[in-house]
Amino acid sequence: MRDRPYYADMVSSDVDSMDYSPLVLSLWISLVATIIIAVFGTLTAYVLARKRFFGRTLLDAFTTLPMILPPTVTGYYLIILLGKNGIIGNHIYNLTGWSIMFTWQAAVVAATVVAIPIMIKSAKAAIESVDIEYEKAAFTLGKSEIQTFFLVTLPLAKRGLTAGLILSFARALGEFGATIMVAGNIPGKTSTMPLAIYSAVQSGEDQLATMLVILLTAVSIAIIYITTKISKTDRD
Amino acid sequence: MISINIFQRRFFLLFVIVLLTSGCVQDNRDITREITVSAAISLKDALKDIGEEFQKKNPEVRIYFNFGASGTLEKQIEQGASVDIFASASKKEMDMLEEKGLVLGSTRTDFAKNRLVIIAPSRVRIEELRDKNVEKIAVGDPRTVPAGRYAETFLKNAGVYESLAPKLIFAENVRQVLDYAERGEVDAGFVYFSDTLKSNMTVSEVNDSFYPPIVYPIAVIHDSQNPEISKQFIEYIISDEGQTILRRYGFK
Repeated sequence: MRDRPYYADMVSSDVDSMDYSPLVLSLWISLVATIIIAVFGTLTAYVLARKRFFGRTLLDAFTTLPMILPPTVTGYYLIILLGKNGIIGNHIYNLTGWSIMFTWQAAVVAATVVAIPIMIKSAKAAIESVDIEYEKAAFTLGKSEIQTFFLVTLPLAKRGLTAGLILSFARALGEFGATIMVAGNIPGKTSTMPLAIYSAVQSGEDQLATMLVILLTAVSIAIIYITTKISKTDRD
Repeated sequence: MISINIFQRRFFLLFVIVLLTSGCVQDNRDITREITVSAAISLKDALKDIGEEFQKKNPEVRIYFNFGASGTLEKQIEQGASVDIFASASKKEMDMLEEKGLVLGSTRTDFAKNRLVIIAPSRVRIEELRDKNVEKIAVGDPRTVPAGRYAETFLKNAGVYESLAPKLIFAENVRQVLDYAERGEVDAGFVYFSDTLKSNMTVSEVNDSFYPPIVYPIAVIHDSQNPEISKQFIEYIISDEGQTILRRYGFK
């Protein structure tokens, strides 16, 4: 997997540059993205499922958009927003002297934005399926909305939420289009599994490509296996 | 019911007409000869221009272009892409195809020269790339992009590769390097002189004894369906007219 001779001599030369294998990078980036998705995805889903407010349909549509748009379009929007001269990016750069472009954090943002609609969709359905009478009962027993959310709604919606998270993780793991646009394809820094497979095929390193493909397939099968396992034990 | 029947009949009639006319179009197409040219992306503007001129002179010919990193295009041809002409930004990719018998060796010729430059918001010297405020330097991915390979060789021979390596951002092709630099996402980039003509970035020349001569070879692909027209197009590119257009775009 470290079959990158031209790169070998530059890894050892600098302490700052991290070098991780595509698999480790992919798992790390997807994990961080999934944690962000767990928090904001569930929150958004709860708001969409339980609150009635002006612009709710708009928010619903907006959060679904990255699921419908080609990832390259999402990637382009992210460049406009987060690029060094981007709408948000230029303020970040002026304040901190740091730009997110071509960093692993950019890959996390891309994976998060592309995968969060899946979480919002399944979490919204899961929360909507929780009988609202239970929540009302909790309120009458003097529990606050936040307490009710954590003690009643979340446990009852657990299965849908878990499924949503696992699917989001899987989507993040496979993210390609938006990632290559905002994070580039830097070996050891942002070259995740899908990107590493793409470059390996492009540069004719078929052996490396085959290895990475088998690895990613194995990880995906493991994810499906775990998902089925969880939903089974839950039902029993 | 009746109205539906009439509608259906009309629809059927329309369908027949479409079928017949599409047949006519098909007949016309047979006269047109199509060739596909896979070319290094640095040639994009120049070759499109030359292609248009060639099509004006030969109205029966349609030229399709497939621009990308020479290494990527080479791999596509190895994997059986139906291409008639390959124009590479480096000898290496053409050599690989010639060794595998995938190009007609007799048609191979060098047709353009280029040089490596640095683009940045302002003029830079090589040593200045080491400065702390130069954080990111874009180069083509050396595995597939000749411009990246030339840049890598240049940096090694200039003795700054080790210190600059952590700053390097690899791009898919040389035009992406230009794009990164113009957007300000990187502080400097290595591109060909010809890429900079339409750009408002500042061009800094580099010592050309630190990298091999940049020569563009072109050849007809072995499996070409239209080798004669392909040869004519190559001849047009190396003719005075073709060379004048190439020079206008910054090639030598």
